[in-house]
Amino acid sequence: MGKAKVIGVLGIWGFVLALVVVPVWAATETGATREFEIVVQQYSYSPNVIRVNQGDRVKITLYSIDVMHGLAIDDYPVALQSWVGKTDSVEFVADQAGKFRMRCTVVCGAMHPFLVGELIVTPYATFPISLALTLAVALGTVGLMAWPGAANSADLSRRLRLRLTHIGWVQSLVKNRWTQSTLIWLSLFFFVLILLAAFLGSPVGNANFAIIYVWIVWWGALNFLLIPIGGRLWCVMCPIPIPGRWLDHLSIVRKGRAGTASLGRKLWPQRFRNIWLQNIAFLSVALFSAIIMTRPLATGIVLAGFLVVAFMTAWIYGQRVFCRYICPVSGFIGTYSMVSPVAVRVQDAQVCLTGKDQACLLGCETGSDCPWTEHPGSQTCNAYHGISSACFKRSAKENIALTIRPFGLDLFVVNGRGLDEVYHVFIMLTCAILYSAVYLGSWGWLKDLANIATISGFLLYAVVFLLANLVLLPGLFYVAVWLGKGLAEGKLPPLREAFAFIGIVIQQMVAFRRRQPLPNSAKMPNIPLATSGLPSTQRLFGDYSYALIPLGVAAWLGFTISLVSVNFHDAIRLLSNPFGWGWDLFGTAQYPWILYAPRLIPSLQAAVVLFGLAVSISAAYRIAIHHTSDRRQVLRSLTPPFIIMVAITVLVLRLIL
Amino acid sequence: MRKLVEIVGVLVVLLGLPVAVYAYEFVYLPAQRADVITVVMRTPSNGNLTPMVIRVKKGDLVRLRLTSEDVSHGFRIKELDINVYPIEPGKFTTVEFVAEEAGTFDYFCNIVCSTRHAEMRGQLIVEE
Repeated sequence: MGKAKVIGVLGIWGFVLALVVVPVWAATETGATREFEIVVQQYSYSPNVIRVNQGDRVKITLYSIDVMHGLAIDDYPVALQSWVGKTDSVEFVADQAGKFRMRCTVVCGAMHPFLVGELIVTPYATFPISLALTLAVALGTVGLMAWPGAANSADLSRRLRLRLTHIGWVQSLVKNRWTQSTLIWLSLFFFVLILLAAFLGSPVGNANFAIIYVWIVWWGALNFLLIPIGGRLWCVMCPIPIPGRWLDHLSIVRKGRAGTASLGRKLWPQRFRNIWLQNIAFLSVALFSAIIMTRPLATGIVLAGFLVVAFMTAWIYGQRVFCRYICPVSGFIGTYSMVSPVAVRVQDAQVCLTGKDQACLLGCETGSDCPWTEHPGSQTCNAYHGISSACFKRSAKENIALTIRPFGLDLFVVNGRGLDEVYHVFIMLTCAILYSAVYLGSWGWLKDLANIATISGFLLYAVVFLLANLVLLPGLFYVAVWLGKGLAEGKLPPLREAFAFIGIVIQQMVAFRRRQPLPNSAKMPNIPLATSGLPSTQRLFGDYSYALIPLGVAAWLGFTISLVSVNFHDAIRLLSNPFGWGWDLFGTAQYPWILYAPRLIPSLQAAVVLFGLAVSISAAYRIAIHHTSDRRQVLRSLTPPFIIMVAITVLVLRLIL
Repeated sequence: MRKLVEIVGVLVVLLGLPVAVYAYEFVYLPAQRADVITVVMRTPSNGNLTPMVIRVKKGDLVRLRLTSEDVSHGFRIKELDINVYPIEPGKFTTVEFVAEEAGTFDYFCNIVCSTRHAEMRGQLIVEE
């Protein structure tokens, strides 16, 4: 190792260390008395951030200037309530250092759950430490991946397989028609309850089963368990396509007239056979999320709308066309389940392709034809099909199995990659960042924009929101890839190539062209193809974008941990009082406001996001090494994208911690 | 037989649940609290409080169940010395009193709730 290199490495680690040490040193003298007058209104505290030194005596007086509000501080014994003409104050010693959120404790309107401020008690080290950890994780992962032999151990792990459906009782469980039906009935029960609550129950979001059980409980379950572990498991039990399925099969549990039912139907238009519709649906829901997540009626209308569209498309086109091409949640689950270990996979594609297992295409005696209109022989990636028990039922030779593999294998499946999916990755990552800023941040003006306080403000928000999703992040990443390719090859590709993607996107979005999958150059991405070199910037952009998926999953998980830990107490309350009508079915209607493990939550969030970064970096490396075996070239081409990933991680940590 | 089970199961979920909810809220509970009057507070721009007029007989034990559907409100009848606050959204507060005097008494919100706060006003009419 050259001297310059040693100095460089030492310099980087010294910088990382300094980030942690300096703020701790910088703490000044303590013991002063600090007084704050905090004015609260819908939906902000001002000042929204107050800073004190550890050991200070803090006096806070709360003045409301519109409706009744409260103020509690995580981990400090503060509980204030104020309305016009009644102020409230408290004095305490700031004995714990760190960042603490001030939260409103009295329902004060639709956006009440997101009315927060910050108390920062210095020495405040959370952010510098997270910054240092981010750099350490990034550098460490790069070092590990570039270590000779790392790729081989990864190769070993990809051969690990556990075929769940080859275990006797699992097999009989999934082949039993009642298994999926029971799950569906259970979710259908809750779905009916949610629709009833949404349309008839209290308009107060915190007091309505629909809001809390959709946006806290279901969304939390999706992010904590169903997607990262279960992959497409939710699609097995989703109630929304069920009425369409009943229509399709003219039957409820049994197979019915499957297979023939959809023969007379129209085919789903070729130009919509991509996920641009899902992209648009996801963006639309995300744009109005402040309304949808807080107003029961809006949630009800969206869910009922999904139900109607799912039914109409099943009527016209048959099968789960809605799930496959339209449903924004299915899109979210589809792309992010690429990290999941659970998947339905055909064991031997040849058996399917040669028609030895007829069940593959037509359905057989006990199963129905694939609701996801996929040919099982081509099942390579979780993005394109749900899990449906139909698969197992129809495969006579157990050729199709529910498989457990190492996490994240689908990220390296080259088949089927396309710009629509790439855009989906960017949209979801951008939305995770924007949601964190709007809902976890302490900026009232941002909440006003998202909550449509004024039409002109919302239009501005919409423009910025769409630009961030469709131009800013993809554009930055594209330029980074372009720059990386230039670094790797020693000369920059022409400048116009750096912006070439804009034209392609516009073309794709306007024309809804049939998706052109990126060229398939190798089957096993981890086998270096020494000679080929780096492909075009556009191809490289597409490939590297898939490496952002783990970071996106982690960012959503980090956001969701905050959302759930703050609001979960409502879920327990609403079990007894689902409609906000004053019922007390199980005696939990008075369950108090509790913040679960406030000290543990930020560490958990940071760990999740940093883990996501590490997986993203290693995924990018493994995707890149597939193009060229020259490690130096790989690292150079990846340096700018890595910088973007680190920047995104730092931003996410700043917002959610 | 299986077909029957399926159909019954679906009917229980799709129809039984709404019917059960309706029966509990609009038949069973009203019978349990026959003499309780539910007062829902809303700012005037959200539909104002309901009911706007409450009629009782002199000497009645009046039971009011107070709740809010938007922000926190208060409930005050000056002459009867009734002052309940805050009435938080989604929560229920019960207030009881005996209507000892005949007459018309105003009840109103006493926590500022919007610019039209002063319009949140109803009448309790105690008849002879």
